[in-house]
Amino acid sequence: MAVLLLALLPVPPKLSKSTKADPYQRQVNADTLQDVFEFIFARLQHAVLDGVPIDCADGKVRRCFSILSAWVAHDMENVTLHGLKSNACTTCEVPAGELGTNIKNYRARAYARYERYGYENRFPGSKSNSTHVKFCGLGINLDQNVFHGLHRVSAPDLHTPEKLHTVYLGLFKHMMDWIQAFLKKHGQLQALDDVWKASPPYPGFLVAKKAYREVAQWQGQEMRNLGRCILGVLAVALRQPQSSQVIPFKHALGCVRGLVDFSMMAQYRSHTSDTIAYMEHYLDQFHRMKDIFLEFRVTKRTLAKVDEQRREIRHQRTQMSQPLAPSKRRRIHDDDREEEHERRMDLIHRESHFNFIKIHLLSNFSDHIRQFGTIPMYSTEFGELAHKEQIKDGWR
Amino acid sequence: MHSYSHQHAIRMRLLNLESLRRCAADLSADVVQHLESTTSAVTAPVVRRRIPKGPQDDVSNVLDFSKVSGVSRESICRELIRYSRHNLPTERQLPQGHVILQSLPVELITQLEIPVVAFQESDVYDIHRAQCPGPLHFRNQGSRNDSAWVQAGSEEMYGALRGRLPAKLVALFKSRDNTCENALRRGAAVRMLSAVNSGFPSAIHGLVTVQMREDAREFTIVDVGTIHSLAHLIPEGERRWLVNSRIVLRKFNEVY
Repeated sequence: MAVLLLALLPVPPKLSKSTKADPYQRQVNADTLQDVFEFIFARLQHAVLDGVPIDCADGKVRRCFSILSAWVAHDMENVTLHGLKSNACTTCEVPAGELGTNIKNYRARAYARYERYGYENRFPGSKSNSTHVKFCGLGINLDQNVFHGLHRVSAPDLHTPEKLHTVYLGLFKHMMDWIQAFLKKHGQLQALDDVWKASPPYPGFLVAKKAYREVAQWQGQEMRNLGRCILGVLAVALRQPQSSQVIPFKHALGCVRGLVDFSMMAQYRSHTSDTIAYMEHYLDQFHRMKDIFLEFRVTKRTLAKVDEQRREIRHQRTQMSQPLAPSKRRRIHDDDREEEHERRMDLIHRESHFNFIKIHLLSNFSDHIRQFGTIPMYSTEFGELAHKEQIKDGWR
Repeated sequence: MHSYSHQHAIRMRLLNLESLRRCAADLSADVVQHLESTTSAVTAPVVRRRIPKGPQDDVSNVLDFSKVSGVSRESICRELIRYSRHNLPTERQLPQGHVILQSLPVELITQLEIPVVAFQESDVYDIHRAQCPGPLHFRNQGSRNDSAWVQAGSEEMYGALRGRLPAKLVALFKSRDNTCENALRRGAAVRMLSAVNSGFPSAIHGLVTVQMREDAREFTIVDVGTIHSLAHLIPEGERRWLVNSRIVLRKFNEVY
């Protein structure tokens, strides 16, 4: 694979999501990006429509049509270039509230329709409230799709699944956070560290010199390495459950196994219908078991609600408290604590979810393999490595 | 992609030669013959051999082997005879007498290079370097004797392991049999592990467990040709390990 540097894109200063104060700066950023891409694609448009003569190895000159067919980049970059919000899928119209499910039959994105809607809305009085709400729900930033107007380009197919940011630096990182919280809850965190450090060497496998918790920053290569041994390490760490831990340990291992096996299948360089079916099966297994980690997906907002609920319960109890014998008081105290825990877990399960974009992107892998071939072909690692030299060359 | 690029490169080369011929370029006769032939035979991939490396100078016979490895002479002789009976044809078997066997020229080796065909490839090899320095220190750290996959039976045996068992390397050696046309034999002394649950993976985590049984033989001698690749075993206890089949794609594809 050859990587040719065509252009360096401007990177405007990042604006915090919460700041609503600077819509003008946001518009300037979007317009600048739009103009830069228009400039880059202008020459390509000529080649798409009229073709360019290219010398071939057999001595003949052929007219070739260079058509933009893939944009190999990580998801956030694709989302920006497609003019979408950060939690939207570039391929299908999955609602933000269903990203954590393994449902696949969402309508494919129709960028032409969005552009038409954007164009119609430019004129005063043409804005229909219900249509506007519908389009906003689809996670679209109107008029910010840089691929709009390109001939013979299928914009929903430009996005390519990639493992580096979606699996290794995405789901694996999330999974390790969940595992750590899970092990802490069950008092097995030290066991994981011990087994982790005792992993023997293997060709191409980096032996861990530090415990998992002692490593401050994890890079793609290290997370890939982790994926190769985490199932075995976790299985050893959870090998002696108490009777109450048997089911949670089984589900945790099942969930990790589903994700690890899915990532292994995604590395295959050729597929059959059977291997794709296995891949879908492993992803399905991951989704079926992932609820065991739901309590570790607590957001700050949920935590605040939990605190508020606890304060409320205790306030009610102090108002109802009566003088009691010590033994009875202790029993009531235990019952209260149990009830408090149950209500807390109810609230956490009700409020927490897995609705983040990277978990949804996994469900597009199998369809992409059927349509365009294996995942390693679209690795972003080539581009990331090229940054070392080519980006610097550009500035020099 | 790799396979496509190979095919593409070959096709481009043929197109170039074809083009040169049309331009009446001076091509050698075999190239012209190749271009004119409508079919071509597909050559089988070259089988690569295991290469022993790192000889230890202080070992010249079984007696020295016994001193360096810390294994008794009787055990070595007994296992050599067993190996000879089970693996060598009658006319090439080792002498049965312990006295003759003890003077058998032996060279100890510390490393074995094992070429392993890369997954979904036919001519790309990964090189596994099995380290077996015996009681010697390895890179200023403790002794390191790797684990390897050894062909121990037919495909139907040991469940998901398909006839292979992991084994701990004890020693790697080359021996020359003076009594049989100076035949060179490359062997390995290994401590075989046995599969728990007949080699079937656990329903919970999907990994196979192996163990070293209390009544297991001290070591077994096998031909280096039966060593397939390195094994990645995660210690589960003093004498139990989990076979990490997720360590490489090839193992993931084989053990399930």
